[in-house]
Amino acid sequence: MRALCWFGKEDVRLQEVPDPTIINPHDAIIEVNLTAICGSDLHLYDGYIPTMESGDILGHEFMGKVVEVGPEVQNLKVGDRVVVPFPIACGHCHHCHTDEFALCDNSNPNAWMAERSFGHSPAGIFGYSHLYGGYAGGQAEYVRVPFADVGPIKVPDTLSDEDVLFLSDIFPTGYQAVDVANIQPGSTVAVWGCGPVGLFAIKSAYMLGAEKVIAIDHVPERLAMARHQAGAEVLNFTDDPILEALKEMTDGRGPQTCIEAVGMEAHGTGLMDYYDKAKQTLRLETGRPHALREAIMACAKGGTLVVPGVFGGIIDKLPIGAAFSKGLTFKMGQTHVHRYLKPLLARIEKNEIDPSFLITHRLTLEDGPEAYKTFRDKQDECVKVVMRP
Amino acid sequence: MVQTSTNHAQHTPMIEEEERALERTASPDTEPGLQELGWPAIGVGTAMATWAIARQHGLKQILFAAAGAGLIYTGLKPGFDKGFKRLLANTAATEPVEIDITTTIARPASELYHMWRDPEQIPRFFRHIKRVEHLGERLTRWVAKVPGDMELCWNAEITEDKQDELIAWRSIEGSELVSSGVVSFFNLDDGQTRVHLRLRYQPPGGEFGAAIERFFKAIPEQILREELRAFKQLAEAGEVATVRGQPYGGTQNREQGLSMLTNR
Repeated sequence: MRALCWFGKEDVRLQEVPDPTIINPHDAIIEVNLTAICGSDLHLYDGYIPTMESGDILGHEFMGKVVEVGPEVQNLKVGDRVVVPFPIACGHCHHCHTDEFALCDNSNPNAWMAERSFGHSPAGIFGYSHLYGGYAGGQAEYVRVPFADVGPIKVPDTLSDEDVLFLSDIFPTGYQAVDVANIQPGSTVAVWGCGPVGLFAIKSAYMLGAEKVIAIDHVPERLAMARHQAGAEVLNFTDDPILEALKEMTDGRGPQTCIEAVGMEAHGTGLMDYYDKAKQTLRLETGRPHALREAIMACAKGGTLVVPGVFGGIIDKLPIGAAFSKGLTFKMGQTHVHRYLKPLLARIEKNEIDPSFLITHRLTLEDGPEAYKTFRDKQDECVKVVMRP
Repeated sequence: MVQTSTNHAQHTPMIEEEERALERTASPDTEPGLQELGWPAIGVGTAMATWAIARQHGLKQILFAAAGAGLIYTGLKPGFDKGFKRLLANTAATEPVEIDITTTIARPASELYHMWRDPEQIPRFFRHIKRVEHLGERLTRWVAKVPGDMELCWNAEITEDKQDELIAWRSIEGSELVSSGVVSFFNLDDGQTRVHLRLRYQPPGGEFGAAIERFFKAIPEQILREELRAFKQLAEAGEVATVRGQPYGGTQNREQGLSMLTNR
């Protein structure tokens, strides 16, 4: 089969590789109908996530058709059309029992490695470095899905591939960011980053009762999308002094909920931005936490800061004193996608949201290597790339 | 995964019982080592043979060489009887190593106890164990894989067996590895089970060969930790997570890199 493989920094190639096979009894093989490049794949592309190996198959957002099931799979059969969550969860450990699927005890074959880096191991993830299990990803014609009774959800024929693809990651990720913040009706939510996760966070915030959502970015077409498609008030950080503007827009109090949907490769302005870029280039820190710092400073007293943006290692100059003094609550982590599949599928079926609104590029796997670059450089007004194998 | 290694025993009745069980296994450090060989005979025999070969005296040389060889054989004889590998293993006695690992598993204690007691199941989670042979009610023979296509065997006798709670064992006469251990299963309030494994063993001496030395440098904590993790995965999820055998866009360096990164 053909698959997009990682060969190093800014080196993604379409390769002919062997077809996946059933390895464990709860595996299924999915023929991929539609797959996407995630913003977090760009951290791999830019070489900021350690423990990638040359030849690793990329991709954790995909959906398709079941073509083979292992001997102990009971809920799926050949021919089922499914969308697959990006974290791999066993469904039977303590964390799976408490709906914390991205913290599954049993799905990371390299748990020892993660334990050394993080103290404990999170769940394995498709196509996202050996630290997260080294699983082959879904930017391919076929993919092996472990614990197939637990992750994949069957989708009705009435919905198109594009309607359901983003249940694999970015829709639940944006939704969880708002869900865990426990927002009060009438509250104001600020979202840093108007990429796919930020856009879904804006839409989810309104779904869950926010009165006003303020979105922050500097890419014109993304700000336009946040305003016109998602209904946010927008701020461009190259023009507006964000902290002052946010205070102004919230009667001096600051947003009660701040969502950092940027992650480790934030862009900022001024001296601090150069400082972070230099340190990250020298690997003295693994993230450029510009947006995170700003969100801490902006957040209202007693507010909640949610971080769906991916961080992988160590950052510095984090204003922990501000967070402490204002009594902030931090919520962060990979998305417990399994938890949201049914309710969000229901919202799509009821036409409360059309998740395909942010797709700007419909391509094939052959276009993949070029698409990574286009997406990373935000050329061609690229917001979301989907590929049909 | 709640998996910690600690020497600070928490004060629960279970731990005290483990302590007693482990003490009762009595460190079997009386296994014979290379001192069993007849070293004076080997020495004298070697001297005679060397002398005879160095001096070229016809019949006398042959006689002396033969007598020397005879003495060497007498000296080595206990080795032929008891197995050289075993004698080597118990030589160069080092301090016993103690490993102590805890994990929490979301299955009932009784189920975990039965998995541990089943010789068929053991190689599924103890990945370095090739097979476990049932020799009797309380007696099993363990065959471990050692790098370089070698095997390491020991016979284990169960010294204490409390259904659903605790199993203690020790190696007995005829083992290439001197060890003892105890595993306990303790029901926690939230329906999970705390599994606590304590293992004591005598690392084999350097003469055993470089391969086995490497094995024993790598094994203790990390391998057992991974095996207890595999036990948890089998018990909870019914399989051990792996990526071995999946496709990738291959380069020759890749397998090398992977084997450094991946345990499974």
